[in-house]
Amino acid sequence: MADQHSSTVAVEFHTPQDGRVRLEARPGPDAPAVPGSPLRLRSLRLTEPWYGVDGGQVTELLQKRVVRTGGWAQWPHYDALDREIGIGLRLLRGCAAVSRPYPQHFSRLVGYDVDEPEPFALFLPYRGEPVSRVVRRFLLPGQRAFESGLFHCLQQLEALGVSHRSIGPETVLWDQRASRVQLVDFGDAAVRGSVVTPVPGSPWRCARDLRSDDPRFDVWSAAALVCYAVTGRPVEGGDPAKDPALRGSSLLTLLPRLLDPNIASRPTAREVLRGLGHFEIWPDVEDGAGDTEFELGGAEFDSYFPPSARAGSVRSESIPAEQRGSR
Amino acid sequence: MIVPPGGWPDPPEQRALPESPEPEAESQYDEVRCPLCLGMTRWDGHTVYDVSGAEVDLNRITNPLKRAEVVDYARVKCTAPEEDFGGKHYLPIDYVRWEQPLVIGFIGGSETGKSTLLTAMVREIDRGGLAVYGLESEPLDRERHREFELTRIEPLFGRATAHDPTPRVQKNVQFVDAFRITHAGGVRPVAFFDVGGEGLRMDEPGVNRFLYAVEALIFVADPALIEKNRQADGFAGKDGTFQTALDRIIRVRREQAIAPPAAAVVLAKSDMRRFDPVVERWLGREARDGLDPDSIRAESRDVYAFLYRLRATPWLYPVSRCRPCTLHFVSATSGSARMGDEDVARYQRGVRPRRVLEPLAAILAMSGVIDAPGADRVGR
Repeated sequence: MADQHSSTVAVEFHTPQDGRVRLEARPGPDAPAVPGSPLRLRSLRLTEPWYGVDGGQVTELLQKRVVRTGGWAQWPHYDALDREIGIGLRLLRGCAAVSRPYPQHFSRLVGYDVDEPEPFALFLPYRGEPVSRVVRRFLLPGQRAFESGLFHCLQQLEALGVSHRSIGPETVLWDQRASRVQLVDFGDAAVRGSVVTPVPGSPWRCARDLRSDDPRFDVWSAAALVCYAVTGRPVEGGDPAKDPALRGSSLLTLLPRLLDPNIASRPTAREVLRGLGHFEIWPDVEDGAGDTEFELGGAEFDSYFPPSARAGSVRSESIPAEQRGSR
Repeated sequence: MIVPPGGWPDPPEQRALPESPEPEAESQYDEVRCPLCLGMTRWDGHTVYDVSGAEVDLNRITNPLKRAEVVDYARVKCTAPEEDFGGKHYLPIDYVRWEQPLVIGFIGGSETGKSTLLTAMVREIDRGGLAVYGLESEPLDRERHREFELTRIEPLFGRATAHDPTPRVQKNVQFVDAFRITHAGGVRPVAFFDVGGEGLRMDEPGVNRFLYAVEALIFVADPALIEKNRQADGFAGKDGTFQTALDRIIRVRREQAIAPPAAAVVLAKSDMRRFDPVVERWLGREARDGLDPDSIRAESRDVYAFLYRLRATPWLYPVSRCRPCTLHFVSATSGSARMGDEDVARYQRGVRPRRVLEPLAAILAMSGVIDAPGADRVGR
């Protein structure tokens, strides 16, 4: 980044397509990405339009970055940013793999630079306002659109093997005009089969799930959020399905299972959507599926090292590499 | 405190020092290869040199505490012919008292990150990183290790300062550091050598001795170099280092009917590709449960396929020539260094090694030092 004292800054970054771009922008004020987050969020108003995202005109970006405060920033902060970028890239690859346009209900990564003294990721501007600001303001049609929209998000993440793990009133946005959910802030996300960093407890996480990489982690959180958004009260035991405010919810009969503390007993987001009569569902996307060169390389390796009859299965190592610091 | 699976191994039986002077008695110690000159040397069992350089006959020290103190810091004189092996020189006593030392060579071109990887590896060994495999480790040569700490470990991990790149033409084979590794079956010294590819082209006695002596090689591949060398046809250009080194080693050893060495191919700086799902899957994993041969095979397969996809076939050359052989994703620092205000390259985030001991653990398994279930399958 260039001179911080001028009214504009130069922003150089990698694009998801491995290109390199340089733009001039006027930065807005810093704010925590989410209350308590180690990452800072600010808008960047471009001095000239940029056409680097599907050919459309972009005049503003959101920059999420790790701020150096004199001493060394903590590794958990860098890891959170890496997860934002990794999941952002995975979402882009995922929708290409299923031949769908990028879903508007996810924040969209458009660039990053991790080698800067203050590494950052760039997103298109978010749409909507945090659910925390629309609690108890849903009309029934909007409420049902919110519920199905949220579970569409979860199903697509599930298809990619991703758990958001921080679904809550600040990370789920509601665009009233478009009747659309947007899920943002993937700094705590986990990919199934990769190393899982435990997350701290919160009212939006089932206490038993904190080390899990199972996408049904988010099913509990989403159900808890729906209850809160409609009733204004967080889920605290008991049977929220008995709350009269939830009478109109499309999830009413499913709530006990969605909020089951045993993750294995919960339905998947796909099952929830099918139960709601929604059949526009992403198929599961395997890492490397269709990567012919990679598969050929693996086959060549096998020719050098034939799999042994004595070999067991590869141990699943969902082992936490380190405790993440509090956000 | 880390306790290896199955608890700590019993202390090895230390071969008793001879109690009575028998000047003409044949030494009970085997001939071993000197790490400094790579010639063969044998200790007589009682002649050592203390910290001041004075010769001491252990047989004349009857006080066991005093003897232990002398032994702790003692050196022995290399008995390889002085005129052929660079003159009189001394080596730590621990080098000659145990099993045949395991000589490991690190091979890679300038700026591949080879030296940084070696530094990170030594530091992790120092921190007890091999305990998870049931191994204890101690520096073999305290002075040499201390110097390594001051000149390499402290700048990198204390001040996050990048190493100066290895000279583009590294003309020799450099002995870097060594450890005494205690395993269930005994004690084995392990010595690390830094080898520049250019050095192996040279027909020098020291280089030739290394070619015979080396038992395992760690080939360091740099993803940035692979990309940089990509040619118009999409294939990564040739990095002569691997092929030059290996062809020479194999040719020389074949003449003496010695099998090719074991090998580990390491994709260093894997953090540069950490957003690739294959790399992401491995980079954050730590070995918590000891040796896992199936996991090593799965990772080797993924690294091979990853490099194959990059059309980096020259970097896969060791796989076709060495058995046993494994492949690994590692990162010595988890980031890149940038030139700062004082004209010093620093790692802005600090330094965090990832998986730097996995290649060494694989080599120790391939060499029989780690004797866990399935160790015989590693690299085969």
